[in-house]
Amino acid sequence: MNIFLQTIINGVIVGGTYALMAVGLTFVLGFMDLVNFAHGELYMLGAYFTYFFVVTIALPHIIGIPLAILVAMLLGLLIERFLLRPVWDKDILIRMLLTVGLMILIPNVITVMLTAVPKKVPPPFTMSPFILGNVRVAPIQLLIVLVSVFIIVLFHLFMQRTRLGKAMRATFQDKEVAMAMGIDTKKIYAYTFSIGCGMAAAGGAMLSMIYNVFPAMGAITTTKAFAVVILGGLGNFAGAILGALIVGVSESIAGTYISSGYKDAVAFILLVLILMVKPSGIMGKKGGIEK
Amino acid sequence: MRKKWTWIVPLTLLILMLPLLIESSYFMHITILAMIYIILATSLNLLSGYTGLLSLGHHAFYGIGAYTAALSVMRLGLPFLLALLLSGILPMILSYLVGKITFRLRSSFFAISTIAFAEITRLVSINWVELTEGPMGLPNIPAASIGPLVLNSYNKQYYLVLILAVSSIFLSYRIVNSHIGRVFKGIKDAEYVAISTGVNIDRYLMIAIMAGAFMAGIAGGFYGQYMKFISPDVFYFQMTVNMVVMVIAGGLGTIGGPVVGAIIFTLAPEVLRFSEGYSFILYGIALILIILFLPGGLWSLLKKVKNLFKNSVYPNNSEIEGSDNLK
Amino acid sequence: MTTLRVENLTVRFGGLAAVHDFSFETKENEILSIIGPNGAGKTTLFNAITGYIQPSEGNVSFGNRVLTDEAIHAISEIGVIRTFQKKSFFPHLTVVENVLLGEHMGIRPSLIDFIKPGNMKKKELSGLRRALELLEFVGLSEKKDMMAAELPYGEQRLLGICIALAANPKILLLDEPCAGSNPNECENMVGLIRKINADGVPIVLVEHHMRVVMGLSDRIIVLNSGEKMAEGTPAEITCNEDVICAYLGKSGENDARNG
Repeated sequence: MNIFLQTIINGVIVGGTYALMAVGLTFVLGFMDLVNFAHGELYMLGAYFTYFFVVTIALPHIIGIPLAILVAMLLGLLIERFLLRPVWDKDILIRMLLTVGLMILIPNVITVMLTAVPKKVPPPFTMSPFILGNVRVAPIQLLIVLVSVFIIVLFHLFMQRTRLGKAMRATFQDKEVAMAMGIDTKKIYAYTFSIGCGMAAAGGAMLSMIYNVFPAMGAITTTKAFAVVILGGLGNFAGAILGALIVGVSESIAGTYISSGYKDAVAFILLVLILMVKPSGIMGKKGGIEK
Repeated sequence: MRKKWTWIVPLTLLILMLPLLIESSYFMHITILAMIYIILATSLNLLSGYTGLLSLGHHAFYGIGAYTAALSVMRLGLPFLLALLLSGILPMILSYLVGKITFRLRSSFFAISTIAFAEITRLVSINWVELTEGPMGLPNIPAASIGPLVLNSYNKQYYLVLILAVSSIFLSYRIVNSHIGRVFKGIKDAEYVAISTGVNIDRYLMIAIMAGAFMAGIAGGFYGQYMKFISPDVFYFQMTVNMVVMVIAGGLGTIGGPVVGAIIFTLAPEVLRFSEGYSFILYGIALILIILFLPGGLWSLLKKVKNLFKNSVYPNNSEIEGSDNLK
Repeated sequence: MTTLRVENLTVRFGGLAAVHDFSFETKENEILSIIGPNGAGKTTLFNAITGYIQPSEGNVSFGNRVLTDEAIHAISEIGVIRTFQKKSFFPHLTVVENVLLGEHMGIRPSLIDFIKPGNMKKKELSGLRRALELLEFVGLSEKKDMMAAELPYGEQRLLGICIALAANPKILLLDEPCAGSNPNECENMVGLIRKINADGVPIVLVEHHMRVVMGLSDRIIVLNSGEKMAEGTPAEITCNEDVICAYLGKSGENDARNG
């Protein structure tokens, strides 16, 4: 029973970090119909920026991490302006391939500049784990989950309460109507992509404190995050978070009770099962093809 | 019509005599790899180029083909040609199942779901050790033998892969230039209109994915006996990325595009090898530049150059071509 | 006699009924128009009849075939063919390829065609011949090798109808064939619809232009907020007080805005 409880809690913690990735990804995917393979690279860059601010310049975490996220968002704006905007009206494949170009380019630039040797960012504090009964939780893990939740809540409030957030939702629902209402959709796309990048970087910044930081970390995370997003549903944030938790917990259970080798397949198997059982939950009726 | 043949004859001769012209076995190896990629890019192009459904799990068919051929020769002792056929059929059957489940989805969602299938096959190839020997891979795969003929040299391997590549191009040419190809283009262009004319969309997508899976599987089957070794690395996502790059950079939805793309993007990394870590950076930059400035792909550039040349020499060429079309 | 019969059709989106308890039946070889203000549920009705949307309640049948629950392509197979208010053609194919795709059910290769070498070519050739005839019929033969996207707007509309004709309709559902056309193109379209009907194809028409509707229709059904408001000959509809009040007055504004 205790092993089971511990398994679940570990799963929730891992799921919490997936959620941050998935929300950012579903945001860009749902709002821009962009399969953003560079998402994982921004996650990786977020970790490297954190390393730069916290270790190289030795800023305190509370300043260094927001700075890292900010830099990633600026980079997102640049990528959108100079690479994505020229191809917005093109085929979805073309847009996606552009992000594939970034997926190849960015980690190799990092490798050439900094080598592939893993780096470590020390956590802001060292505390012994909390022990509740027989279940152990490391404070840093708890902090990461709390910060993830905080960022997601912040994002939610931004989308619901601010003018910009409302304009984004209007653009998502009907681009032409939004344009008729005087919304500058180009700007909206730029901000959407930038925020997506910021959320990816936030995920990387958080996890840099418990995992190694290395150039290939982005690519590994991207495909799984995609599976989580589809599992959750089209542009559906609550779905993405739920999907992330389900995948986190299932992976943890599979790792403990079945085989650690197949742990990484869990997200994909769940996705295939969902597609077989309830595809309508994801895409609706087939008539949806008539746009 | 006669004009068309003037470049086809020397090109055919060049392709047939290539082994005599290339002395370095290293370059022969690169040429054979380029041929494998021609098959793969052509096969992906059927579904993704013509019907517009981007499959990002295509490498799974290649990987399954590779393991099917190797295991049926080594474990079951089947003759090579039969094993090669199986290496096309098994992925084809699997692609049917993939299609059944994923054809309800479109655009990004289809793309990502196909990744899920490929990732599952990759993890199976790593973890089902009894079947695949796991991450250690399968060494000592015997070279292909057809009757008494053992393909134990680069040259012989070259001719086999040449036959496979030409057959793939021919098959996809035949499909694309029939009513089926027209339906593919219609689905990509305006699916809701295509379906209103009575097109059973799923059936046509199924033709595209199954023919593509068959070709990709055969490419895998060839690759295993050629390299004499396969490992779960054949299931790496990078394989599909390579194919997609070749198809799009070459020219989406054209027969020549994937061929040109496959040749250039197999040779480029080898040529760029002198710069070590920078080669991937250049690869990435080249890709981004092609997308930004040459959205029709390299094939469209070749056509433009050809037209430019033609028009300057024969000002009335367009008229001649027009009358050709009427016949 | 085969007629299109719609019985108590209801389509709900979320809680809202876009079409509510709507019934009608076509008569042999008539032109039936369905009119109503924007958002009255006309396109939704078409989508429900042709299978693009699953109706929440009710039945659609053609002759003795039930269309409800059939796949879209199967409904086309039965002979119920529609056009779309939006692009009703394939923009990146040539005009003649567009029509050949319309002929899909006639020229698609069967398994036997792959084995018998001559068959495929024969089908293609007879298909091409028919495509050229149809293009002649709608007046687009000179543009046959142009990309559909390059055609002027009115001719794209004609092409849409040509594709539908190529599918051998037993009944034709036209969704605003004159939308966005200039008066000339509109006149042309009216002539074409008459010609098609004269060849024995019954037509169900959704249209905004009152002149087109009044000139063409044998019968008119007025749809308002998803419900049937009136039904009758053009003369009866123009005299109907409810209709004048609820729709005709407004449509004048609509026409002014659209024009």
